[in-house]
Amino acid sequence: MTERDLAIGPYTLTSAFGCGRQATREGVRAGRSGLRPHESARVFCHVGEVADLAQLPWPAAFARYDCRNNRLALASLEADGFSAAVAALRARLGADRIGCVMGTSTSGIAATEAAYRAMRATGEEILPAGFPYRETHNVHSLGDFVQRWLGLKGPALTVSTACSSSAKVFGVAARLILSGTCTAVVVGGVDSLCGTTIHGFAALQLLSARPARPFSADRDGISVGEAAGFAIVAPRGLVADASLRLCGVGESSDAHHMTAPHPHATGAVSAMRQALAGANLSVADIDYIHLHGTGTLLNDAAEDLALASIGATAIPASSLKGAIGHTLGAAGIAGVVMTAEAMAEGLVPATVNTDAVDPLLRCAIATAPLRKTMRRALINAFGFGGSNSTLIIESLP
Amino acid sequence: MKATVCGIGILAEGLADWDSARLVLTGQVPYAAQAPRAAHTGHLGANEARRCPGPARYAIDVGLQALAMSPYAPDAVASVFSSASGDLEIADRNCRGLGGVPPVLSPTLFHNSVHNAVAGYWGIATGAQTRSISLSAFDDSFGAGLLETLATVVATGEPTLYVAYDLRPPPAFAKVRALAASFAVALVLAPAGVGGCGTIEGVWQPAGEPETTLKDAALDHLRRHNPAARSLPLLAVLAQGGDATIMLRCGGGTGLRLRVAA
Repeated sequence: MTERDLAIGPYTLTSAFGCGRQATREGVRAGRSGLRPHESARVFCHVGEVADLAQLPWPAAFARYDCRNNRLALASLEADGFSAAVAALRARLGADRIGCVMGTSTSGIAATEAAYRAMRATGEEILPAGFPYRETHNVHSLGDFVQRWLGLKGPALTVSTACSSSAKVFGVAARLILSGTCTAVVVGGVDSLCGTTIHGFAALQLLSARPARPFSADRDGISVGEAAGFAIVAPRGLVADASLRLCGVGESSDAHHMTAPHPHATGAVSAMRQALAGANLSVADIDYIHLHGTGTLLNDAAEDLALASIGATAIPASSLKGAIGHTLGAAGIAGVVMTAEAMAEGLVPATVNTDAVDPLLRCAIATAPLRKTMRRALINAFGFGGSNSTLIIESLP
Repeated sequence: MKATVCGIGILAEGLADWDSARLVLTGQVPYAAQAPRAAHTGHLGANEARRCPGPARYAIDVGLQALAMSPYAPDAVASVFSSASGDLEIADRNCRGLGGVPPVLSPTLFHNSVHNAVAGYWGIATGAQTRSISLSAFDDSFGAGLLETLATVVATGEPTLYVAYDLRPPPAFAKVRALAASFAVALVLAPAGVGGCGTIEGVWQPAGEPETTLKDAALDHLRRHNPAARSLPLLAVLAQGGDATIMLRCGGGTGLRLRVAA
């Protein structure tokens, strides 16, 4: 068995488009932006926020896990019958045959940010003993919560490689299955709005005051978004309603700089070539490219250079970072689900907010929705620390 | 899942490198929890060395030790980094800054706050452009990372550097995340058949058997109080030689049974 023998699905996504596949499909079809103006202590930007998370009824048994990140996870797990689908698979395979591999960048750090604000108000210097650090702020809060909520008893871990996190979870899942450790793996990615990311990107001068405009000539930074998405990865034929095949996974490192992409984009090129080689495909076999396309000057130029280097500039490409924002650790799974919905709809999604493409960039950027039959797509997810990941997926008949 | 161990590195309180750790783990020298020596940052340039946070210094140090023992250059191995809590020193400084009026956040501290900052500095220090993953499974992080490392070696045939680290958290976390010491360990694992200093065969197990402990009380205290130090029973077999079976936790209350021969 190789990674080409693995299927993906069912899947779900909750983002600024709304909760579940239907809302995602409608958002992709309409080419609308879910970004809204946001002001936080003199930082003016646009964010892709998920509505009504604070009102979500929270299960008493999980009181210590209560934080925005896990609330977003729960809202998404309960959409599209996803947790019921996992329960059915669990009943068939046994809970200990199913792994749980999640991706996040900042997990529930907003809980610690709030606790520090409370400490400042009271003059305390030490977090109180009752503060649920493990269940909220810790990176593995997410994997631990999802595993417990779904009643899974296989290996559980949380990948945190910044904005490539929930693309890399597909690689980990493939290795767990190919090594015989798991029969199936629930993968996912969740990242939620917090002060660290908004003020951090502002400090790096990578946050646009306007909605993000990927690949446009006047692009000047990202819009931060939040999202949660999940999928089942299993050998083909095991899950009846799996609608995608995982064809290839590519992973590489830039080994260049903590935030800036490699000037020759060698890491991104290597990730894409590896994914194509693993998939046993050539560039001509790809029908659509879901760009990482963050909307910063350097990131988009480097991704464009990488795609030019592999001869992929004629393939229709788009970024949805202007639609739901850059969802950071959830960007990989969001890319997979939005691409899957776009392929099912037969529509290349528009690069929302981008009216005029930067003439210096060579990719075939779709600025408006484009009718097209698509079978295979390449999805990029790149992150801080020079972490690159590329996935190739195929829609199953 | 079988693999050869062909490199080991360690830096912890009282365990300055693999040669001195072997003397302690074989009982020739008693364990004494001295402050660790300064970590080496390899070929990091002056700017990066200045910005490089503590966990990345530890990781670069132990990673270079392990590779020096192995036949591989840094760009010939994939890498896996595990840490239960990442860099709480930076989380502390960032949350303190965000709690101020007005909130302030340093751009360097922000990009250093990502869990894979350590992998990023490793790449910059060594030029390794290979596949790299950074993960956590809270207190089971050492076993979970070793599971991913073994699965990588078996599924891809790539030799893989595995680095596990956790540093002592700042005082603000004393009541919610107390770790008694700082600890970092590195292993280079290669496909079975390659020459090395030992072999391990790992089998994932559902919940059940308790973790392997150490006879030496001081070392077992270290093992229990730092998630990366859960590696000590494995390191003890590799130091002492012979055959042994070791149980590790590897996420979600599950286990990794290791047959170790050295």
